[in-house]
Amino acid sequence: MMPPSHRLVNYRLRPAKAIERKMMCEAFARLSALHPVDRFQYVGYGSTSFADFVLVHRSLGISKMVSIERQQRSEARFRFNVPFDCVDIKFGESSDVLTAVDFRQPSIVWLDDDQSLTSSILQDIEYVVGSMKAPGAFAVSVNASPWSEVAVDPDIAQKRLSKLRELVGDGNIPLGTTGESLAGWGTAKVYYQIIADTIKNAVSDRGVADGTTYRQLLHFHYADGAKMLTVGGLLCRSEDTTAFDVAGFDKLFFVRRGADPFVIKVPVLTFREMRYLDQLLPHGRARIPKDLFPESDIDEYAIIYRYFPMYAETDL
Amino acid sequence: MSETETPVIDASPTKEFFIYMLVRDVPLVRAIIDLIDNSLDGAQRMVAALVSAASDPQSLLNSASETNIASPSNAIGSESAVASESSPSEDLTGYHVNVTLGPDALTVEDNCGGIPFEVARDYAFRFGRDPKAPPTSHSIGQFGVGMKRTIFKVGMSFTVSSVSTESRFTVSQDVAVWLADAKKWNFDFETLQTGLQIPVAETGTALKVTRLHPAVADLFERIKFTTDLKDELEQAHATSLQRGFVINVNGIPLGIQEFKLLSSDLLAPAYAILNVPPPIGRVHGVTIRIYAGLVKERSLEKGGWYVFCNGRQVLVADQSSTTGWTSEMDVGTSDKEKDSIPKYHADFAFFRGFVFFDSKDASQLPWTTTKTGVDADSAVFRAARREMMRVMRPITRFLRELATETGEEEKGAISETPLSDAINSAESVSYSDVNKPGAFVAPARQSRTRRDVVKVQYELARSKLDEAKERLNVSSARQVGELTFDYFYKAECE
Repeated sequence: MMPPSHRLVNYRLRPAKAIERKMMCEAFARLSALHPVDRFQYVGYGSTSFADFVLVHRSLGISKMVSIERQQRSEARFRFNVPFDCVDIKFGESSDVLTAVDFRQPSIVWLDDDQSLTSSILQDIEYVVGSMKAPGAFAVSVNASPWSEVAVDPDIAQKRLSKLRELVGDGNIPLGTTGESLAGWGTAKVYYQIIADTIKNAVSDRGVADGTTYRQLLHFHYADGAKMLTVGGLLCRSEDTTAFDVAGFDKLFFVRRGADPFVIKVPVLTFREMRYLDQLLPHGRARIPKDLFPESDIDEYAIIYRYFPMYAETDL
Repeated sequence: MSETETPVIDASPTKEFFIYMLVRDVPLVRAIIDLIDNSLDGAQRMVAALVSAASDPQSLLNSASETNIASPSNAIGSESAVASESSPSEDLTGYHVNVTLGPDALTVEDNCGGIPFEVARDYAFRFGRDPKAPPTSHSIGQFGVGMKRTIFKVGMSFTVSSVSTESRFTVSQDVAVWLADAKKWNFDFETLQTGLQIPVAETGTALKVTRLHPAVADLFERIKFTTDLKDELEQAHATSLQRGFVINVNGIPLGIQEFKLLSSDLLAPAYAILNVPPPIGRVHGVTIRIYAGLVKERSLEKGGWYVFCNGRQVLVADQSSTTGWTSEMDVGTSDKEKDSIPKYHADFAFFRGFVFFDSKDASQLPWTTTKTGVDADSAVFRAARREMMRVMRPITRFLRELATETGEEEKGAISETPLSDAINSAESVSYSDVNKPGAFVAPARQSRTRRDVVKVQYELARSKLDEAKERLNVSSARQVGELTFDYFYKAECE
């Protein structure tokens, strides 16, 4: 058994994760074109840091929040760490607890897992996007590192394919998937296909009855350590089409509607360098001395500077 | 009343029956599999023609309409009235069919000889097989319903283009237009050339269905649908794939599934052959080959009977009364407790049975029109089931014994496990390597002997055990158990 993630790392120290979280929140904010954003319910996996809950409550004003926590041993500790009294923690496996969540109200759901994709995660996805009232937002994150990162084993390709079969089941693996295709970011690409297919099919089936449609907005790749994948989007009613266009989700530069991901890259810069660059962004790039920083670092920083975490701001 | 005034009852079919009703009886995946049956029949005709051309060059000229003139020995009343019908076994290497599921179209194209002009004009597009149609030996496209049913199930427009050695044609039809005229039952050739001489290598047929029904287009894009199709095709056409036939789904070639059973000096699969004579007026009977035995990897889902008609799999892992497993209704309550009658359950997860029905005259085979099951009421199938039950009985008995053996070993009541040893030491061999008919062979279970020793197991707190280990100056829990028992026995029993 791996130790639970909250024992491994404080989520707030993973800059790419923090950047992704802020970007997602910026996208969620635009839901106000479809429904007052502070009246959505937020459902997530808070762990002990509740980083997403803090951000969602502070920036969107959402005050109905459900955190699902599968670690039942340290129940008191999770309760102790609750950041606001509007967070309701439900303990148990997601597959059990999700059925107890009231999805008849507009919701923003982020199944932010740090494990590999499994058939039970797929079932959770199916259940949530099949149950959520539209309009709503749904996202799922998984660890998409290829099985056994060190690929010195000559049979590694075959083993990775067997592992994938074991995790998600034969029927969920796209035709033509080979063990070789799972190396590097290949596992993330296959996971994306599987997740996108699962969401699309579940919404398509329910849409026959209630007209709900799915529009993908989020497709992130990043690696703070493990390779991570996030996929998500909106569930809309048929009458939301105009509002969706008005909301201008497509204008958010990190929005990705298809199989091509937005890759969050984090340049290695000192705090002093970042504050300096901040003063010259977004319009003063020409004034940045050419020889001081690698060009690629400036490019990367210019993309994510608005979302870069400020570690000085800490909860004490 | 004069002849001309006699009222008659209209019993003619409607087009709606074929377009909207019949399609409900077949799942989409199976409907697509039906299309491959036609390609395989084409390939089968081609190889049969080549084989007979090798022995009789004249026959190749007649190959397009190969007729099954019975050899004298097969004729009724001849010496061996019940001839054995062989399984089709010719090598199909070089023949392929490509199935492509797209958002706008389903296409199926093959290189299996094409449809000759006369066959297209007179038979291939008929609803229902015309008894005058030229027979294909070991045919699997038997009912004259598959292609049309699949077209209607998938979309509202189709094009069939075919190139045979002497003709080339295209048929295109908008189904809605065809439906609008209730009286006209023909399709028109869009292009047609006959009297050609075309090399065999250029022959083949392509079917394209367009204007897909929205629900079908949705399914075609789903991973699960394509993996299901691949899986079911691999099952349904396993024997043809083993013979070298290639099927590609969206460009991905299907894998070859092998049917294997455990075999060793101690363990042998059962093999039985039955020859069912042709009914009166028919030339060809049915040969039934039954193989049954064990596999190494137990699988509750995969255990059961696999049934094939002319190589086409029609039942997969059947665990129902259809294949001879006892149904709940047939077991008395007292026997239920004894578990003495083989109703499929977890202990039988090692069981696999393969039944092959073969006939040159495909109409004799016990399959349903959707080829997803057997006509269990047919005399041929009833004969087979009787034999399957007989063959299965010693195997299920062995598996119950195996379960008992495993249980007794866990309890420490027996020291030897000949049954599971036999399974572990046996090799997996292809069913086709089993040549000699015979019953299932397996070793007997070690009878439960009252042994002088028994194994004792119990749980206690780790901390207490560690304390006892220290006092006894031993390192294992087992030693603690033995020494503390001796201590008590010496003090209280001796």
